[in-house]
Amino acid sequence: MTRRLLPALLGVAVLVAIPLSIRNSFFLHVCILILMWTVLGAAWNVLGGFAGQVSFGHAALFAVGAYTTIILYLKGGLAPWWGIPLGGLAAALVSVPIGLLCFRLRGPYFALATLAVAEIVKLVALNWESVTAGSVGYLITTLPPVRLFGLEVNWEGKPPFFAAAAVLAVVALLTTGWLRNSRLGAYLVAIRENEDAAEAVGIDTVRAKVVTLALSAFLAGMGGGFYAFYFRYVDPDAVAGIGLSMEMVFIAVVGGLGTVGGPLIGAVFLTAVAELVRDRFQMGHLIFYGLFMMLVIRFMPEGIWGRVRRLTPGARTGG
Amino acid sequence: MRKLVSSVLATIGVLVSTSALAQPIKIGAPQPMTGPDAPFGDKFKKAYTMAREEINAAGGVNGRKLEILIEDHQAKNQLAATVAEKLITEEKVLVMTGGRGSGQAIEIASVCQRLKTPYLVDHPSADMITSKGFEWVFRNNPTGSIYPMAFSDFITNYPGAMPKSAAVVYDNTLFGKTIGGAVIKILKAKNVSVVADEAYPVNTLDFKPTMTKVKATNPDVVLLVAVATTDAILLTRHAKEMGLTPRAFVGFGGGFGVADFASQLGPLAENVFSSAAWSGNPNDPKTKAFYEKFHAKYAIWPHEHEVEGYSAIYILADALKRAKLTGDLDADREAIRKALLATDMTTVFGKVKFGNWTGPLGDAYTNQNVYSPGQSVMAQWKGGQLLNVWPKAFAETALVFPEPVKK
Repeated sequence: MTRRLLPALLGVAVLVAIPLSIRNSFFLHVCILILMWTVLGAAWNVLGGFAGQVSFGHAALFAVGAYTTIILYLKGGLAPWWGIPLGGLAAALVSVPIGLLCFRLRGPYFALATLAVAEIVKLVALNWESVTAGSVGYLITTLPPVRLFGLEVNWEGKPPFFAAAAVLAVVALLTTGWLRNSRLGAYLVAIRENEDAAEAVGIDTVRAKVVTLALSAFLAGMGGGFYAFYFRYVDPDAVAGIGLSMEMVFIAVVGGLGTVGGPLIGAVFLTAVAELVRDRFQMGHLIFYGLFMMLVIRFMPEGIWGRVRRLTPGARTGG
Repeated sequence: MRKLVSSVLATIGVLVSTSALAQPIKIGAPQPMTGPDAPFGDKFKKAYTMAREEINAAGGVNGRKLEILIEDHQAKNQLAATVAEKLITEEKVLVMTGGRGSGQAIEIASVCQRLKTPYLVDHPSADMITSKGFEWVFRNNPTGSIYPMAFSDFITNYPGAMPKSAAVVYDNTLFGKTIGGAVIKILKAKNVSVVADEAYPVNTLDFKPTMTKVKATNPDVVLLVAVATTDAILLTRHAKEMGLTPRAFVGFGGGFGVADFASQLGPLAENVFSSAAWSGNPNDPKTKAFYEKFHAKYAIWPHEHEVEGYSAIYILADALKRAKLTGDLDADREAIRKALLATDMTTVFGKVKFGNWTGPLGDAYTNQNVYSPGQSVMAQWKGGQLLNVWPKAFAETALVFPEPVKK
């Protein structure tokens, strides 16, 4: 128990310490990005890592969350702490019919179907102008004045966003941790390893997958809601593009598929590597980014966290 | 002891502030240096470099050299916000420019507004950038809804040009929809019936079904909007191949004005109009001299992007010259913002003066160039060359209208 409690406590301590001790706003910005990508990586990992269902369309769920949150705020005046969970909820609701349709397909067919779903969501966002503002998109110019513990929240500063991203990341990692030890988690691993066998022993595989997708969508949607408030501008290209779906896959894979800590490690490495090489090489930085990915996949197919777990003596599998 | 410490600190303070004044003035410019828009980032880099070298060779700004820090945003909104943040907080640039894509520029504008750093938009055309009341954001180039102003002027003032009906075909991006919407609004205001209103996704490979549909409506003029060059070329090719014979084809968007348009379409490009927010006034010796200079340095002829980037640096240099810089970052940025508000000059791009006014679609602009509406021109392809034809003051040649009917 202490083995798992200790790193968790350490992590929370670090999360609290960062905004209190560091005044460098760009560093905080990078930390916020890392936390946001952790949420998104974890969202993808729940479905892709545990259930083995490779989705190339998670941007669709992210987009539903982002649009829901920003529309509720701009049109309904709903504050972020309500808007973000509602964005997650909307994404989860949208994911159910998607899941019922796509989970009839397996393997590469499922992956292709998710790709199509993302494209459909993007087209809807582009063309349903009365709701989504089409290609013009939505821009938040000011956030409402809020007092918390007697202090005015400074929306121009980083700490409130850091706190929000940290809470979301902790929720995402706790959800993954809970899933790993739950009955559903066991079902998912069974499905991942052999779906026919899982069905044969009486697991309702479609139901298990749909529930997992909804969970994954909830996290991705909250990530989208956070994006809307932090970056303040939502348009179809930015939130429903294929690039975003791919980043989520990369983070989960580089960090370690089907592990709890993987998405955090993946987000730290990929964000840091991207920032460092972009700083050094203006034109060629993507080459180094790609090279880093290739090296990880070639030499650590189980991901960075997966490899670390394996090398740590006495570590249990998973984790 | 305390006295000593304070005097040492004061000395350091003086040293720091004087050295800050002797250092180059930093301008931040997020541009797409990699990814799908990389060719545009390169255009701006060349233009910025040339302007910077000229200004620095002439003694810089009040004795200080200009330094332009370009950061790659890969045409991603999220990254544009990140690099803008980095340039402002880490590199401590005094002022920002660049952006290239509208989505990225909106993020940069939003960051600049929050961090109280002036931002001069040099290319992105989305109306939203200067219609949200951002007092730290300035724009030299016209907004999307201003692009069709020359066309509007043409149909109103050229004898017999008022169309009986029109077909409007536009891409479903922000650019396409803004301009398509503005064109339709202009036509409706003049009681021209819009018989076809067609949106298409960017990089469509086959416009023949669309053009068949358009042909059935027998439009008097055909208006095409494309953000991508390939779309501009294919729209025109397929429209002509499907046998559309309107009195005029008018294209909106950069793709209708590039050399590829003529080289790929050959005779099909003849007499097609390109209505742009800027095509330069080649009758102006200063524009000519700039073209020659740019070509001599880079062996390419400058277009809209290069002219915009080059002009942006000159506008900033002018404002920096007038601003009283003290070495205090916040005060200096505010001084530059104030100086930009008082800008009244002419660049290669044209006259510039920032003001608050209402756009053609009713947008309330803040710090948008007040001369923008007059900068819209119509050009026409003649024997592989794009020549300005309207308004008359900018005309290089007589225009051909209506399009001669071929047998």
